[in-house]
Amino acid sequence: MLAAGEGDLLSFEELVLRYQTEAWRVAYRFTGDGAEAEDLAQDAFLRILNAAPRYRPTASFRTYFYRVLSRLCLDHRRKKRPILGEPLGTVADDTYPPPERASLEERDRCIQAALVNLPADYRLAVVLRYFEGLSGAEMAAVMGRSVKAVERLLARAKSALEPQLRRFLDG
Amino acid sequence: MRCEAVKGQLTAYAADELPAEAHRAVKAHLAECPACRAEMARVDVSAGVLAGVQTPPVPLGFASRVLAAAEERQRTGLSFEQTPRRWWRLNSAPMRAAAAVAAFAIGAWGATELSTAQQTDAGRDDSQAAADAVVGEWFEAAPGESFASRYLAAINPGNEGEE
Repeated sequence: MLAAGEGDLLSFEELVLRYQTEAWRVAYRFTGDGAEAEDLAQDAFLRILNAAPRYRPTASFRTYFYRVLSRLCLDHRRKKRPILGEPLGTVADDTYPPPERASLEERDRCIQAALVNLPADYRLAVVLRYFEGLSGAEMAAVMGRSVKAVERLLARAKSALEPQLRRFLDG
Repeated sequence: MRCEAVKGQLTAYAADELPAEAHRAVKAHLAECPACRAEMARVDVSAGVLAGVQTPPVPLGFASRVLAAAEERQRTGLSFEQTPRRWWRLNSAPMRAAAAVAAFAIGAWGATELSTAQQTDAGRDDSQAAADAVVGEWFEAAPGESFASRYLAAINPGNEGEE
């Protein structure tokens, strides 16, 4: 990151390759739209590059990265209503024959729709916890809230989401 | 990681009490094991259901496009800013329509000022061209069936008789 701040694009490329999966996953789960997700993820990397000369490693880069991405997600939501565009397609388990694969894809699509219908901060909390695996302390650092506030936010998000998820319980 | 080991940690996983490495191991196992996800869902519905959701892979060439954008910025020396096309795509239909109206109003005002100074047939063509240039710079990428594109079509020089 420090090398990227000095204009070293090879270092920047390493950062992108290292974090592109996380950037894409957060952006995709937050927006529900492939094109918007790619724009958002690219914006995050370019803003990080823009700020690189001023970057000081006072926190882990991972926390900083998620913080930039989260802010962009929330700004994106403020600028426009979420559009549930055509998802790029979900990855279904190859052990299932085609008819069940179709139902897995539909299942994932419905879950994504439920996610996108949440308020932006609820949605972000769910994505950071359940898709990125961030701990409460990490989420607090990323979202700029206390750990207690993050726990309350996550509890409210789950209350809003779970009635729609129960029909997808395995088994 | 074996299912027996995972099932014993599900409550701690749901309560975010596992060390980071154990948390990642349980998360990875849940992504692949429907039986453990079902157990997880008894403790935490969201964790159980969302653990089985697969995210599409990163689009092909994504890193290359990011790097190309970074190189472009480094070459031009500009800081990050939205292009008109990106602004158009990211904003809602009412915002786009309002921007189209505002841009046309500005273009028309500029055109009026120009035509007041030199009101000739050539001047009239120039002012229409000036208005079109202002609008065109921002909305040449407007989606075909959008409100703004239909509005722009309505103010096309070919429809002057309807203004």
